[in-house]
Amino acid sequence: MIDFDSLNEVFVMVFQDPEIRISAETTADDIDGWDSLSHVILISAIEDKYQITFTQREILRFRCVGDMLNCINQKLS
Amino acid sequence: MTFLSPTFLFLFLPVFLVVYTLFRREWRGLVLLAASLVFIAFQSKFYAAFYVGYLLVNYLFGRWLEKARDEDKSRKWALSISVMINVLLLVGFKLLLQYKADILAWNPGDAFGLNRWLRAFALPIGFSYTAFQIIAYLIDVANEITDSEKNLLRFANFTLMFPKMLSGPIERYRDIHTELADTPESFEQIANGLRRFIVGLGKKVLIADVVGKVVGQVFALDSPNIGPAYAWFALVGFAIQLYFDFSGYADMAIGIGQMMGFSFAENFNYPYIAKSVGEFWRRWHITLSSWFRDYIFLPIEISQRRNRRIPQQANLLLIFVLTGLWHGLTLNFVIWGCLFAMAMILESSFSGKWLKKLWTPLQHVWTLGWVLVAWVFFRSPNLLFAIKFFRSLLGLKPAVDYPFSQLIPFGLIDNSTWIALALGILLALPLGKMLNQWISQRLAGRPKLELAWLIVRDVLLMVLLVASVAMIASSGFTPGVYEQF
Repeated sequence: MIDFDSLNEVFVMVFQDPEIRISAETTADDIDGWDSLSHVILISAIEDKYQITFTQREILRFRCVGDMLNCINQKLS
Repeated sequence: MTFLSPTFLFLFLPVFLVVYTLFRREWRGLVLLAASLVFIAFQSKFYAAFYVGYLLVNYLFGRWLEKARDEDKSRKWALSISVMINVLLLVGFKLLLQYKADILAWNPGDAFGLNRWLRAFALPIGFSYTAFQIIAYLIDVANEITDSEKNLLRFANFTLMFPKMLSGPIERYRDIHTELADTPESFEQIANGLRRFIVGLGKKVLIADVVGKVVGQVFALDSPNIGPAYAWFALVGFAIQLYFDFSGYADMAIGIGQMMGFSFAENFNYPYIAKSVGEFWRRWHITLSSWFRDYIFLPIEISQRRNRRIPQQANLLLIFVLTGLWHGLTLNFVIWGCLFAMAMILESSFSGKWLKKLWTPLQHVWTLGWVLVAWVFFRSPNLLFAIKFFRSLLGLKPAVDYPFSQLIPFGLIDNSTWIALALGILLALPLGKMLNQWISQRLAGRPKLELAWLIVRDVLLMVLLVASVAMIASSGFTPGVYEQF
């Protein structure tokens, strides 16, 4: 099981902003620079860090960071 | 019938709102559907019938997709067939519209007996918006982002709801399905909706249409052999006209939606203050750009993230050319899309980092430069006109001299045009929003003053309504620019 702190590290690295603090409700509107281009970079970075692969449908279903974390934990378990 | 026609403003809308509000909540869906069909039938009874068939077919597609989505192969088949039929219908209608004159000229003897029908052909009202809404719905059902709508009446209202038929917004089913089931009742929401509608009406009638009269004259010339001052006036005027026309319509649609208890998506967020072209597209026609992002750009990017065969630049080019073609199947719209794609490609490369470090006013110059050049292609009737218009903007000598009567002397641009243009430029900035916030902060905790301000604001809105109606009565109205798409 991973938690928000662990996932936060990926966000900090991708968006190059050490001030980022994610929560379950965080969406692209809350983070400066989280656009469609960086979204794909973020997904790849998460996959690399946790050694998982999301399906296309899983990625398209993400509405907030909480959805992402649930999906990662499901895959890791 | 448009939002500005007297039939809509003084008969259809008030009667609908009274009937809608008087009916019990469980009957309101039927009232809304009946009103939407009447609204469409004003354009064409045939299209009202067409839309009934269209929604029935897509209702069944949605149900089919939900059943098929657990099995990958069936899901792909169901999705491909249902989306393809919608795309073919949209492209077919657009092609017919674009080439009907050529088809008529090629077949003067009316060999198939269809020429009378073809001469009268117009795009079904709002079809570009409706088809995109339906395609998004079908993809979302296939991807389990939402379940299909089982209630046919709710699905019919999602598809045909009249406020968003003319110019969007392109709603997502997942965002309004709870409101389709039961719209909340609130006097405050009705009042806010009415306020929003009046603001939209004022933007369209008092700014877009006033500036648009001069802009229309310039772009109706056989050839734009005009001096640079007229050309720049027409170009900046068009930028203002388009924004206030389209966002005014969006305000009216959102306002009517609010009066009915729906929260439609916002379509604009002060686009002309953007500091990059990418930001401009996150603020302009938001529901269309987010549609292309979510249903074309992202799926391609996601599928390519490990094994890239299509460069990201090609993907950007694809979505902007498609955005152009959505407006019309013409070379000008393709060039318009390519220009925006070029700007986005530059911004996503090293130039983007360079742009972020620039002095802020220069970032605005960069963005507005691209946007204004793109608007020339958007508004010009053909490519040759656009090229000549650029010559006029640069003050180059016209290739052919046209009689002076075809030009627009500055003297004919009267005071009202100047006032509308100046107001347009000021209101394209978020000054009103900032002022409202500033006043609200100052008056917080002082209920009497707060009430006084609310009264003053509503009186001003009433003045705006009277002025807009007087303008429609005195000089008529022009259809919205984005209605034609």
